[in-house]
Amino acid sequence: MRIPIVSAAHTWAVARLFVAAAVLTSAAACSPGTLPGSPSPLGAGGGGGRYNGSITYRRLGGNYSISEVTQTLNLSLVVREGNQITGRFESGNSSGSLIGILRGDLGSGTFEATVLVLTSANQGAATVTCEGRGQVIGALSGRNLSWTSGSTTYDNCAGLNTTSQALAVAVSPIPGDFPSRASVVITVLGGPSVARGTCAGGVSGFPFTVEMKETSGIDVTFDSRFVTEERRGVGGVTSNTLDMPFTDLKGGSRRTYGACSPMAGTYQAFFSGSDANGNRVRVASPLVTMGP
Amino acid sequence: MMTRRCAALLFFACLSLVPAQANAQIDDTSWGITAGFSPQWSMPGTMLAKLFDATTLDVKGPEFRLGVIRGTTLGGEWGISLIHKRLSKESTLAIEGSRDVLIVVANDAELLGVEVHRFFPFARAGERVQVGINLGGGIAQLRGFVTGTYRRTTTTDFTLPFPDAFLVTGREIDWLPLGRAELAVAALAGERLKVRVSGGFNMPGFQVVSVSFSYLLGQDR
Repeated sequence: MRIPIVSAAHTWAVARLFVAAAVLTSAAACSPGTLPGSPSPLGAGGGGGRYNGSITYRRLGGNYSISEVTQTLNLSLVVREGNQITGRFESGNSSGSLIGILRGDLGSGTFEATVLVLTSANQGAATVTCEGRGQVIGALSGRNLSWTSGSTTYDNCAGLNTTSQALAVAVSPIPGDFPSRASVVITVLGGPSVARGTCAGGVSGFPFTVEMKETSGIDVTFDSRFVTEERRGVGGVTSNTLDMPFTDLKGGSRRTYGACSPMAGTYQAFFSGSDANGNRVRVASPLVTMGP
Repeated sequence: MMTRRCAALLFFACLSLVPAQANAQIDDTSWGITAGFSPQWSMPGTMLAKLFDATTLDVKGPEFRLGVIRGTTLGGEWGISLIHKRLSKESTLAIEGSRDVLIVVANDAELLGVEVHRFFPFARAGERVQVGINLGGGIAQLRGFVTGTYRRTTTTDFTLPFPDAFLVTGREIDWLPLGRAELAVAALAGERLKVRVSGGFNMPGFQVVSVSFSYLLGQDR
């Protein structure tokens, strides 16, 4: 059988031309100045964002003094299933976590959240880390975020009462980690609005699953107790302190627990502990709303 | 009740297998292998509850054993066995924490351990049946998972490693001691096989009936 040498050479030449054209085309596409418009500024994305700004605390009462000068604020927010938002923040004299519900989106929306804060305070010559809790109402517009807290009270600093105001600008759509500090995120699978279903044993009720996960790869040891708060109908909030059934949450791992109430109302759980680097960890579940 | 009948039938069936002549028994102490089971051990009521900081205990399940022994066909024996005690899914413990009671249900929990036992025959019926006591002790690891439930207005269910179920009491129980004190009847079936039916204390509970098979590997006379 004879091989058509001339024809093969021709084919190679065509292939080389094709490759050369492809290389030239891609090189042109990469060159600056050929994009259709200028790049967008970095901001909060659909699923989260990192914000830099400032926060100011005001002391309303209590025998403690806190820093009331404006402090630098670093905040990371993540939007999760069912418009749950979770966040962590650090400022000059405080750090904390934030869990709440977003209405709208990160570009245009509002949020209500529970803030658990660790604030350095002085009582006389002694410096104490006060563990506070408050509710914040926030607004998101374009790259801007702001929040105003109501009264924040502190479990271990009796009488101390503060408010806070924060202003920040999104600097990245990628939520950042705070180095060497554990990050525990608590969410409700399926979202914090729970419809009627069936509890264990076939009883009608509002079943939901709470997921706790550590996202920074740092081990967390929980305190021996946790607190739940429940509201039924128009009644007040009932608080229960329960023994913590597990104390370890390995870095990067997750645990879930199931809950079910036969009656409509709200549920929220609060956990605290320490991470492997000695940092205090305080985190809450979203406010679960059961029923209409 | 059925398991008792089955065990009794098995015992008498083994007895019926005994040949009339018994001139090849192993009288020199030799090594052998053993296997056994208990259809159900249980830890009922409140008898041992305080050991576990529990208000009530209802733990039960089957037990399996496999090990090596050293003994003679007409005498006693000692041995070391791997013990596996399964907790049935109906097993529950009400563990009293400092604030509330955690109801623990065994989903997939077990005890896996090692036990040394010694069978002391103190009476003989004929050439092939012995009556004695079987004593043993060892240690077992708590393994698997349980569900711990707080029954408040909102019920919360936590899936926990079995040892963590006791954390609400301020301690973690990873290992449990094993103990055994049983009244036993043993029968020689054939030349090397001994079948032993026993019942009594089997830490951490009790068992009505347990069946063991011991097969000696030594030389015949």
